[in-house]
Amino acid sequence: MEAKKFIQGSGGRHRPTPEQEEEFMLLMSLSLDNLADAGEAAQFEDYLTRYPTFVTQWQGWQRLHQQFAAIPHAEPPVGFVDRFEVRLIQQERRRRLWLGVLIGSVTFLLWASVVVGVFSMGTYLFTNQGSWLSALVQNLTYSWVNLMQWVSTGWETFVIFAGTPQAQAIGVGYLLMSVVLLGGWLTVLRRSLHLQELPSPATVA
Amino acid sequence: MMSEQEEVWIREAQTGSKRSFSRLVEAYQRPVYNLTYRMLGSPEEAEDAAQETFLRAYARLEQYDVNHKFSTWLFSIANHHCIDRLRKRRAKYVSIDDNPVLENLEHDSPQPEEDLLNQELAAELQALLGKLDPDYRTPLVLRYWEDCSYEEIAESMGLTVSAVKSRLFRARKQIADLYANQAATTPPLSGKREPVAVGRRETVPQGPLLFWRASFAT
Repeated sequence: MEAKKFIQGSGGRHRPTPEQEEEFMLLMSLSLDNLADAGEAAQFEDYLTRYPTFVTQWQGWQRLHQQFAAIPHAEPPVGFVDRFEVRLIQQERRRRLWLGVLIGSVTFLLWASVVVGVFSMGTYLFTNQGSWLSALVQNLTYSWVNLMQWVSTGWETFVIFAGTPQAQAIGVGYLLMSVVLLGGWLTVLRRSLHLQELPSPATVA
Repeated sequence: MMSEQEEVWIREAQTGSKRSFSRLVEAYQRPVYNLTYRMLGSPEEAEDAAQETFLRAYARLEQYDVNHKFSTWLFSIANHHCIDRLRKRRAKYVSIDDNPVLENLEHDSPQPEEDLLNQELAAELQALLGKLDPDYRTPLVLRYWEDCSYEEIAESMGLTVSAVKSRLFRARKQIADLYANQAATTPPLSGKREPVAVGRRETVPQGPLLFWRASFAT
């Protein structure tokens, strides 16, 4: 098995242990990348000296490394960017559509939940709280009727009272007294104003 | 690090400029496509995955931290996307003969022998890469084609640097084992490929696979 010998190494009197083989392969990998530190490099050299089987293996890995390094980049096909731009526009369109659908759905759900909530509440009140509601409506109606009754009765009493001669006399007397009092007050105020406008005795002297 | 121009494009793209993002796509299409191609193996699927990577990047652009490399961030998205795709098609197996890269080689137009040989070798390596576990494929691609440091690979894959070291070494070991097994079980290249491979053996720098095949032939 020539090929196996090539990559796995052959020859040499001493056979390395599996652990040593494992370590050697790690060191080969680091050496290929030029990343083995001084200690690792020394260990690597030591392995190469001790086990001739490792030398063939190292040569195989080096060739493999060179072959990989020599493979050129795979070039993207012509028009790659143009096709990408088309896909980007399509994706954006799809994204906007989904966003619109999402916003629309959320809005509809909110609206529907409000409508259903109000309807359910109304239905519940009318079916389960009917007696309470009717009592409330009845109380409100009674209160309104009472208020109206009180207002109309009060007005009628006032009209009847204002139609009697005694009330009319009291009203006229109240009016006259008010006119006299206002007149008296006006006179007093006018005089006090006149006094303030007169010059003081010191100024006259 | 990023150029100032790229930083401007990123800032503009973050405010919603599609034109600036297209410039970024133009700048990074090659490494991203290379990663998706090396991960997935098919040019059509690689293009689709690379475009999907950029679409996802555009959608999450506000999450991008300008203190990190933009390429590393893109590789991270591309890597996750490719791994998702590979998981979905786990049941399918692409053999070396069905490999789209090899199929692309089988055209009638005359090609210089050396080019053909190199392409053939690249295709074979790509086919072997496709047999690796996806978690091992990514560090190899980022290391060999994008020249990423261990730290950048770690950032792209969400790993520690020591985990990257371990994955790279295991990836190389797996590739070496696959080479050895394939060379042991596959007969030498037949038809029009064989004379090219054997004929050029003496003059062209030989890869391990051709080396083994030549050993079998003699």
